[in-house]
Amino acid sequence: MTRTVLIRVASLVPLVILASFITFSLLQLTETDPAIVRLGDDATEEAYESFREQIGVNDTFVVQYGRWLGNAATGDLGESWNGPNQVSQLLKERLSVTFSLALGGLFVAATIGMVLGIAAGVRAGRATDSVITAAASTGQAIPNFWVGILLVAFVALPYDVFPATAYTGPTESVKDWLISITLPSIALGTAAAAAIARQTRAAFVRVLHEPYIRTALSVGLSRRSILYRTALRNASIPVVTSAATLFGVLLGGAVIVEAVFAYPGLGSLVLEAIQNGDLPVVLGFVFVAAVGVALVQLLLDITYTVIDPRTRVS
Amino acid sequence: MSAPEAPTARESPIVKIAWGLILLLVGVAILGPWLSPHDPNLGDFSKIMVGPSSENWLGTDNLGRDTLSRLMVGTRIAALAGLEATAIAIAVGVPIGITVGFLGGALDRLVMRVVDAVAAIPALVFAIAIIAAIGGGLTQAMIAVGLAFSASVARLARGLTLSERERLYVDGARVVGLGRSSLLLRHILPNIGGPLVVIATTVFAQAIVTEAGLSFIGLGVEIPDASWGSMLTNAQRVHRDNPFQSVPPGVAIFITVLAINIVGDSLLRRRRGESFDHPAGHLEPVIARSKDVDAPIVDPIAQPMTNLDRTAAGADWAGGASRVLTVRSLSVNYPTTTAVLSADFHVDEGEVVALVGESGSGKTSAVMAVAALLTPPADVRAAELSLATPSGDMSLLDMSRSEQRRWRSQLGVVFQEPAASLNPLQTVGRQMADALKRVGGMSRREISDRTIELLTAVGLPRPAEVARLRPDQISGGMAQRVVIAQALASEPRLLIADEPTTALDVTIQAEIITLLKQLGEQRGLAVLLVTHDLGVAAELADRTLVMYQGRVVERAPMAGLVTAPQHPYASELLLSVPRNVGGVRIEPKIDRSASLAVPTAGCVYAPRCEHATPECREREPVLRNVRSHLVACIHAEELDLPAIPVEPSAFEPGGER
Repeated sequence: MTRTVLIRVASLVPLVILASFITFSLLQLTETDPAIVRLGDDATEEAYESFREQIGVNDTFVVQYGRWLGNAATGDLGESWNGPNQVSQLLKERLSVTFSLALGGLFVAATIGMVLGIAAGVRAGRATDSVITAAASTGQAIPNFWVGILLVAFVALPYDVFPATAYTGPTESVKDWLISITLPSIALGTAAAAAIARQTRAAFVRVLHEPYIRTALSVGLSRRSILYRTALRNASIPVVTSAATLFGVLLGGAVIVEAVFAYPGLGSLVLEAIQNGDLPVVLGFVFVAAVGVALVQLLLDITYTVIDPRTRVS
Repeated sequence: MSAPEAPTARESPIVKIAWGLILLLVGVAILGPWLSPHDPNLGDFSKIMVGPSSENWLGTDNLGRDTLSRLMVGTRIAALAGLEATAIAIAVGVPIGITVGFLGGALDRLVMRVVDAVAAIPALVFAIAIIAAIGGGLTQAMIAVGLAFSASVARLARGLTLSERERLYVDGARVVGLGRSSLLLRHILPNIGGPLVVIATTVFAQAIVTEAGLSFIGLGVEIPDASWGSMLTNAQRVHRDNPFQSVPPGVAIFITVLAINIVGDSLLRRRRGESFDHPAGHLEPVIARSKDVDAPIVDPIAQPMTNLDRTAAGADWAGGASRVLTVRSLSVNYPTTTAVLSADFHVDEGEVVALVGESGSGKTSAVMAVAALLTPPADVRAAELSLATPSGDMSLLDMSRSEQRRWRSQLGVVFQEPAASLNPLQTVGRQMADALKRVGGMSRREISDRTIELLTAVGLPRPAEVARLRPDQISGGMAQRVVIAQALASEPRLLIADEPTTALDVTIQAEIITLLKQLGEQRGLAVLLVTHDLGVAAELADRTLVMYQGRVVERAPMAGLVTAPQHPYASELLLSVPRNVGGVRIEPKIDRSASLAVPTAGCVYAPRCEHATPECREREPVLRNVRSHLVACIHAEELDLPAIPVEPSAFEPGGER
């Protein structure tokens, strides 16, 4: 097991590094001058130049990236161009909001989606299946931030249960944190739940066509046992596999949904950074997102090896 | 033999409505500015945030602008944004995917690393980074979205190219000497075009949502242009006073995406042709219905069969104490074809009966009907389908699905593909235990002892070790032994073996044949064997039925069939077995491309038969006694058909794979 985990980690690390390299290169396209971002339009050329020298943008591309990566490995994502703040510090303050929403969304999506998908799968071809399938196809088309807007307009504002704008961090009060992420998680999770439900159902149907289901039937296993033991476990494999990608989608969605609730997350930080031309913050944002997705991927990979023993490395 | 392809499902009304909506949206996108009842950007301060009225169907926003008009103009922006992003994602992703998929090698590995890395960043996050690099605005935002999606498009295009490249005919084309470029242009591109369209619809739908999202947070369309996303931003500013404002733009996005998804799904279904019509798969097999015996076909020339004839052909209907399975007038129909037509057969205790014939002859459908394992849309009917059990005769006809379990416990089934016939996630022992638990009345200890006993019986060395392994850890031959052991768990009297050796290596084939033979003899099992390989049939069977196009065309003792086939098709089958004569391998000379269409009248084999006469095309032959065989051929007496007077061991196992 440890070996399996180590191998997964060893394959995810280069992926994240390459992702950061691509983003770093991409941001080189910009003509934004960090000196003007920091010092404004009216500083002297010497001041500009000494600032550029100080933050190292005069160095070659390779040197700059190498330095960034070296620092990033120690948790240092550089200094904001816009002010004397550390990027990692800025991100740290905002991380909790965005990741809370994305994980909350994943939780909503996974629980509701799996339950509906299994319900449809075990009754494949019957009325329940048709209703759930139709609902899921419909639900998948609902934009998450619109659900958020509707929840704010028709739930949060009229009734005094959920906050429309105030985010509470988990370190302050777990209860308030849960309350504050409930509506955004539902907003994020709706379409994703529909996607998972469809996927689970489709995986079920595919498994029910497998020869081993016929064998199970021929040796006399009961319908129940075939559905809940043989089929469910086999059908959950593709769903678990794709959940990391889904988490990425939810993380992107969280950036927009947190704007609906005016929560101080990574979204507002990066929007501000884009307006200011503060590229180290943008780079840090992408890096943190990629690392987050990779971590979720790792967790799912471990889950996956539990479900599917074939993937274990021995 | 899988079920014949289901007829293409007609498009449901929902898909038609979705197409209609898309056409409507395209119309609005093109004509929106002319159709809109008001100037979308001109506010009327005398009516700010009014509700829906005859003047403003969807009300007005906080600047007094008409919501419907803005929505209509926004349609164009959404459509353009979607098209731009999709075009970029396709234009970047597809060539990359096809190129690396086609060329493979180091380039493929390198490029896919980069693609994987990009895909590791959430698309929206990557799009935001691109906007940070190239600036905001609708076009830039859509370039960003297009590039962000291009990674997954490249991945999909590569996958399609790879699987297309692996296809046999492409390899064939390469052998013929087609150049790389023409291979790509003529074989690969046309075949992956369809799936790419499906991918494009998905990207288009996602792009529309993403545009709305980016415009909503201010990274897309610039104020005062109306986009569905920016309308939502506006609506959100005032939703304390006028919550309705946030409804129309959201509904517009939702309806658009829904329509595209529905159309995309229907395209996908059409391409994949997967049988979603019967989603319960193997779980809900069809119920065999009873029918009256078909009215006998009146054949003015053929003499009615005497009891002597029947006995000669091993068809003593009187039956005996040892009769295990009786099948009378079994028909299996699919919506467009008849897989089995009025087949009669039976199997006695200790007897091996083989059903032989080429692919599509209906032999598998016949035995799977007996095993109660056929799935819809198969329609199974028979006059009799019964098993002798210790507690009296049991009939499968009109048995409900829950009762069918009882029927199945009386027989064991061995399938064609052993590896696929076992649950990949469970150990052999666990699967054996499940089968044994069903038999009941055993403690855990007894179950594990019995497992070892059965695994030993099927000739697995070190059975305890095998029990701890999963199907992917054992060979195909071992898997087939496990399947046989599982089939024996309920101590059935009848064993059905459907092409039990086809998927195995030649040497393993012989071992499995020997095993089946031993088991049959030791346990007095009645065996119903399906094979296309007359060599296998000759090794195992006592009697044989030759099937062609769903009809039993000859029924005879095995030895008689091998030495003196009476039906031209049986003779053809015999000649098609590759064999060695004096060390020289003689290849069969059979033209399988000859017309396979089932004639509407006369003998089904006539179009392929070298002895066919005009009469054959008119008169349907019935089974009748000719030289102690039952034969469905009107010319059987006149023909002197070639056979191979050799021992079964001269047959080479293998052949059709």
